[in-house]
Amino acid sequence: MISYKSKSELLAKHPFALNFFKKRLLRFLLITAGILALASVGARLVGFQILPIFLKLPQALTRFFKLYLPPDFSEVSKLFEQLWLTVLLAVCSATVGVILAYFSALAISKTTGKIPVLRIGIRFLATLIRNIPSAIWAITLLMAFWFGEFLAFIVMALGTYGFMTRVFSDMIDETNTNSIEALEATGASYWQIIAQAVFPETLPVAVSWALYAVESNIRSSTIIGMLAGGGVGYLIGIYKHFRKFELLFTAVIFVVITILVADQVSTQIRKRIL
Amino acid sequence: MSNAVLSINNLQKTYAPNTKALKGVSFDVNKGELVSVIGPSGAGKSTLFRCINRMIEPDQGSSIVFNGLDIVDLNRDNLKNVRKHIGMVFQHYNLVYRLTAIENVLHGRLGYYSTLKGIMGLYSDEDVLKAGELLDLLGLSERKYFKCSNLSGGQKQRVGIARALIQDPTLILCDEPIASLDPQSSKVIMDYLKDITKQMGIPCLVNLHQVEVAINYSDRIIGVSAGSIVFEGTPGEVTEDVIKNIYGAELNDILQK
Repeated sequence: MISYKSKSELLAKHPFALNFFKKRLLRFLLITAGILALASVGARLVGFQILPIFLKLPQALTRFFKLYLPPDFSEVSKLFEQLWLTVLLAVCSATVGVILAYFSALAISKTTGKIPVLRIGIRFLATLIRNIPSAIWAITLLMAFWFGEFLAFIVMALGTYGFMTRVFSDMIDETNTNSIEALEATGASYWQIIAQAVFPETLPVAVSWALYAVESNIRSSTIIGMLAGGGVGYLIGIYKHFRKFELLFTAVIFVVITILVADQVSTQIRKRIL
Repeated sequence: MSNAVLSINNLQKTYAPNTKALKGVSFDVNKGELVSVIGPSGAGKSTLFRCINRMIEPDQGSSIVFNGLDIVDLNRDNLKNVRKHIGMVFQHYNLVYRLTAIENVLHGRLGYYSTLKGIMGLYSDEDVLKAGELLDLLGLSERKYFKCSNLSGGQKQRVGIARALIQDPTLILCDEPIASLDPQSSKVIMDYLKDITKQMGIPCLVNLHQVEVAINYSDRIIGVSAGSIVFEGTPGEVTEDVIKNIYGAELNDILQK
């Protein structure tokens, strides 16, 4: 048993101990109150009310069933054609984006980036591309490339590039750089070191991210296709425009199935390589 | 001394204006010699080793003569040529863990290949066979095609030694080769280094933390303290006073691994 002194003696000896925990509690309560206050002010500004959501739910559901059901499978062959195109677009744009991103990441990573000008330039470019949403790219580039699959391809490749450059440069920073030092000491050249040490060490993680890029592009191709005019998204846009909701619902079902399948396929591949 | 493979003269390294890591170090390494460098952490041992193949740039005015060439003055291409002939073994092995043992050994040959061949890993049949032979020699015949991440510490270090040997080096630098190993693996590694110096005639400069090991294995011991050489002599000459001078403590006060 440890024998302690009396409480008053201990208080005199550790004057800040109790204060520390009181302060921490106070800080937590203040921050929580602040967040709730912000949320309620915001809700008032946009006229958000919780009650009507529940009151109007039955009405909304009836409308949904009336408009969308039963799904219309009459144009399923056309749908499959566009869906296939969407998957191809997603794979191609992800591949191009990923390859460009890997080289850019080599240029901007702390361990492999050797040219300061290139490092700053590419980092700026990638940050700029990443921070502009795909929808804005689609609308902006529409004037340059016009509607079609090519525009959808460019927009998705840009999205992949911007995001993956950041991810890959972090990945290269985190990989074990000891082997780079060892190969430098043997007299190997820069590109030999990249190919023989950095590339094999980062490959599994890079492939895993590339698969994520494909999945992500399949998901976003619906919206981008609607704006840029390619793949199944374009079809969905047309159905919406002409109020063919039964057909639209069929398209949505198949898009969801495609996404689920893609997710499973990439999970399986990931399991094998990691 | 025509026997000297490496001749270091007045080697200095200044990191920031007032932090001198090396304050004018001079010594030779001769053919067939195993030379140990001992000294406390932060004495400048690792800096000294990395200055020799210019992984760290030494100060102007330093002189490192290797094979009759002063390394300090070399340009990038000539420096690569010199590095081809200096093997290096590291405390943390510094292998590419996703590749197999034999691939890691062949990395030691990259300096001899054109950039493109090196990138593609198109090693000559001769080099591939040599790599296999070296792994056999170091007792890793069963592990040639194992991923290095699956090897034990001692095995990883032996792959590291094979990578240095396949360079056909004139000198091998070992930067704390046994600091991360258990006593048994340490003995195996030190025995191999001894064999390399005696049978292959390749001199080894070894940076060690364990005074006992240095005394048992070295032909010559160099004691470094605060960036200067404070002792140079044979293992027999290492007395209590010498240890005290290097470490600022008695041998009994230093925990021996």
